Amino acid sequence: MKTIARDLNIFVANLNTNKVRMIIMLVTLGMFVLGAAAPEDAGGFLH
Amino acid sequence: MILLTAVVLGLCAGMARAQVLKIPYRSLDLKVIWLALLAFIPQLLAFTLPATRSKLPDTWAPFLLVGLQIALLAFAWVNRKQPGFWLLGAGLLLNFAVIVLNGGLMPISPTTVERLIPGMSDQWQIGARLGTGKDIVLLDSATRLWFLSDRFIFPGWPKIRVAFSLGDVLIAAGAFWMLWSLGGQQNTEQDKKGVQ
Repeated sequence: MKTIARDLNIFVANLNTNKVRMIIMLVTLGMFVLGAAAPEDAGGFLH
Repeated sequence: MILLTAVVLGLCAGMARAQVLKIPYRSLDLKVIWLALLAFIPQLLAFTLPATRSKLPDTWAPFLLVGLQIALLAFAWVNRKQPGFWLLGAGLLLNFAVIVLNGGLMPISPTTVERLIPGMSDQWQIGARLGTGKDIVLLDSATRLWFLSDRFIFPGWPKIRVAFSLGDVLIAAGAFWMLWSLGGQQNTEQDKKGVQ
């Protein structure tokens, strides 16, 4: 357990903070855009 | 697909811009991200995923849609000073207005539905929800703010069968603008506060 926790800490510390921020921003923007708009796909008849 | 295309194009354009200007491409620390998640997941389940969208009773759909749009409006308001969010918020507001004024669902005209799904007129009726989506089929004469409804389609693009509204156009433009602007110079102290 201690080894796993230590490895996880090392992994998190080595994460590129800017990249993580970018991903979070893009995912959030994507969720907003899809939630706010989400053009009608013909009511599901085309699935 | 269309909106995600705007996001991808905006990201590519913004990154290219940053490359040309020889500056790093920035990111934004958006606030209350949980609100966007809270609004998105129920909409995904209720109106998008085939496995779950058919389970939502028609009577629940308007309340759910309006409630979730309010959450997104709150998210847009909190982040209103971020680049592009005024466009994103304006688009959302236009959609929200036409949805609220027409019983809680986005109106779509019979003409648009016929163009979208030709030859399936036995599958829908005027005054009722269109399938398991977030639209209600209404005549233009019976639609409040009809010009804000889902009335645009891509003619001649048979594989892209979606109807979208003016609000959706503004939302796509706002997403593009936001991502484009992150490839440019930081201009104001306000920008610096929310932008990395």
